[in-house]
Parts: sequence; C-alpha cells; structure tokens
Amino acid sequence: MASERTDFAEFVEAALPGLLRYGHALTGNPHDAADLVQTVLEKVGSRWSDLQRRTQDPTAYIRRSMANAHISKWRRTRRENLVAELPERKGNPQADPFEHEPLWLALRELPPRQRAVIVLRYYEGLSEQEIAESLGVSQGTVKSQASKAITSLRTKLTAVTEEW
Amino acid sequence: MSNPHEPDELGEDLRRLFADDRLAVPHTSGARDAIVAGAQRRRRRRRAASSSAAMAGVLMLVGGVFAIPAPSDAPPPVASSDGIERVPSTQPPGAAPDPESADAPDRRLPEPRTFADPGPGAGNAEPAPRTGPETYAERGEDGTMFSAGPVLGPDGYGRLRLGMTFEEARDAELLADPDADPPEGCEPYALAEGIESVWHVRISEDLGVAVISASGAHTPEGITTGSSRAEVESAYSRLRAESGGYHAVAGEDSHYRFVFDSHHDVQQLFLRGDRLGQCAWD
Repeated sequence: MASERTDFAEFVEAALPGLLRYGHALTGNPHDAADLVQTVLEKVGSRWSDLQRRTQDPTAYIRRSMANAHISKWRRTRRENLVAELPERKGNPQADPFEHEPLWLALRELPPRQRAVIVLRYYEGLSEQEIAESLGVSQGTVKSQASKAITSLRTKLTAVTEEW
Repeated sequence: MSNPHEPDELGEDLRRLFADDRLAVPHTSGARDAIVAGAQRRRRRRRAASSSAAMAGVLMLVGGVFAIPAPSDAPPPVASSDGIERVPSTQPPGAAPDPESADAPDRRLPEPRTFADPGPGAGNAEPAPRTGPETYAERGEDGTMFSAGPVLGPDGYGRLRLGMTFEEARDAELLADPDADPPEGCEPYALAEGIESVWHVRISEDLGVAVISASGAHTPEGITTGSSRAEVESAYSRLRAESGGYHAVAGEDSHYRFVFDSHHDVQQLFLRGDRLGQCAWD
C-alpha cells in the first residue's frame, strides 16, 4: 500500500548514506557497498511492515544482515570484480580515498569474516556477545577471529612502516 | 575485544578510520527509487507465489486425495525466493497489490551525485536457479496461513544436503561461484540462488556440508527468522538451552539452532549436523 511504500522510501532516504558508509567499511570499496546495501534493502523493504512489527531498530537489523550477506557472498564478489567490470563503471573509476592509508590497505586484506568482526566491534561498537549473536557464531569464534585479525593488522602495519 | 592484551592504539586507529568522513559513498538521485522499486518487485513476486501456494493448500484441503494441478499461470519457482515469515491469508496492512503507478518515482532526492546508479535489476542475487524448491502452506488455528516458502528440512535445504561434499555441491551447481576453491578447514559459501532463503552454507573439509544458515527459509514446523521464542517452544518439544538460544533435534544426525535477539525473536536459524568436523569451532 502506498503508505508502506512511502514509509519505506523515507526510511531509505534517511538511512542510505549511513548504510552506504557502513557498507564501505564492511566491503572496502564503494561499489560493493552499493551492491550490498541494495540487495539487503530490497529484501528488507519487501517485508517492511513485518520488520517494523518485529524490531524497534530496523537499521541495526539491516546492518547485521549486511554483515551476514557480506560474509556469504565474498567469493563471488571478489571474482566478479576481477573479471567483469560493469561497462557503466568503466568510465567512472572512483579513486579510493584511502589508497595511501596503511590501516585501510591492511584491513582490505583481511578475510571477510575477520573484517566483519572488526567492523562490528570498532564501527558499531558491539560487544563480543553481540557480535557472536549477530553472526550466529560462538563467542569463541568471535574471539579467535578478532585475535587473528588484530595480529594480522599489526603484522601488516609493522611491515609497511618498516618498508617506509 | 575485552581482552586486556588488545592493542588499544590499534583500536583507536580503527575507530578513527571508521569515523572518517571519506568513508561516505555518494549515491545517485535515483538510488532510493531503485531500491524501493526493487523491494516492490520482490513483494509482488512473493505474493504471487504465496497466493498460489495458499491456493494449492486450500485445494488440497478441499480435494482430499485428488491431485490438483498447479495453476497454469503459477510463477516459476524462483518467484517464491523470499522464503516466508508470516504471510496472513488476508491482506496485511500495506500489502495490497500495487497499482502500476507504484513504481512511479517521487522525485525528492537531491541532485545527481557521482556514484553509479545501481539501477533496477543490478542486484546479482536474483536469477540463479533455486536450490530449495519445496514450498508449502499451512493454515493456523485462527485461519491465517502461517508458513509457505522454502523449507530448511532436517536433512538439508532443497538439493543441498548435510554431509554433501564441496565437490558435490559445486558440481550440482548449487554454489554461487562455480570456480570457488574447496574449503580449507571450514568455509562459508553463498548459494547460486542468492541470499533470499539461505545466507550461506558452511562446508568443512572433512565432513562436507555442516551448517546451513537460513535467511528466509523456515523449518518444517514453521519456524523462521522473526519467529518468537514462544513459537519455537511450542513447535519443538525437545529443546536444549544454548548460549543465546536453543538447540532442537531435527533429524537423526542433525539439529536446529535458534539464536534470539533482544526481543526474544529468532534472529538466526541454523541447520547443523550433529558432527560438525572442522566447522565445530563455529
């Protein structure tokens, strides 16, 4: 019905910048961020009134869905980016604003699940328990993924610093 | 995280990076309308699928043992790909079929910006063949249809079975990436059909498909993400409390795991083998 559509449209308009920004942190590039946000929002929007009944905070729900979707689709995304750049994007290469940021470059090399844990922790500020619930894994997994990620980031940053 | 050995300096750097203004992704003026239109399309397809499922259910009730052919205009299986939560048989608020004007954009977004418009149909999760074509409908005591759509059964999801090897799943064209590498230890794979029903499947090197993480699929007992704790408790008699949720016996060698959110609704639903192999640390 129109009211639901209008309501969802208003939500999208208000939430889109934040979700794209979050997607950028999660995926490491703006194109994947847009794909991720669009996929998840379309899914959510098709059940908008249902979701609103179920949760007080649709944005939090959407962010968790994005983290899960990101983990789920990384192999496919990575490959498509390598071999099939969409034609309309060719003429519009967007420079990575963080291309000279060692931390960003180090983050980019983390496997998606480790990266998701880092983003949920340091972007969203979630606790270990909350991250475990969001990703549907045990707290032990969150702990080990976070530990691996931090170690990996430190190693890469040290290497970069030494190179310079 | 709460680890006292966490390098605070790195944590601070990460927080600073994630707060950086340059993380903003400019979008086109049409982005919002493309998303709203995409959501409308999905809803229409799902409703078409649900109403045929409901019709089939009614016909089964009326027709008893007589086989009733599916309506000839039934949508292809992919149309039900949103899985199901509760789809009342009566139109819920905001659920009426939309007039053709539904997708007419109402132009209130600011001027075009630099990011490419994702455009309708740009989502890459849609057209793949379905993995789990099983759908059904049931009628609750109050007469509303409470579940229809893809089923996460005790043995697997559609053609994807627990214990199936990575190679079997790949060769059956169930995985999103046909050229994916086999798992090292335990790794998640997206399905070719997209993420409507299942977020991903975790495959272990030693025991094959070990965990299936549902997004829209529901159990044969009608439990799906968004179901309440009370609904889970009434659907399963042998529940065991686990961290953040419940463990319920599914098949002979499998169980469901329900993780609840802060509102006591199912946030995560998994079908897991009782033996998880290298996915055990999950």
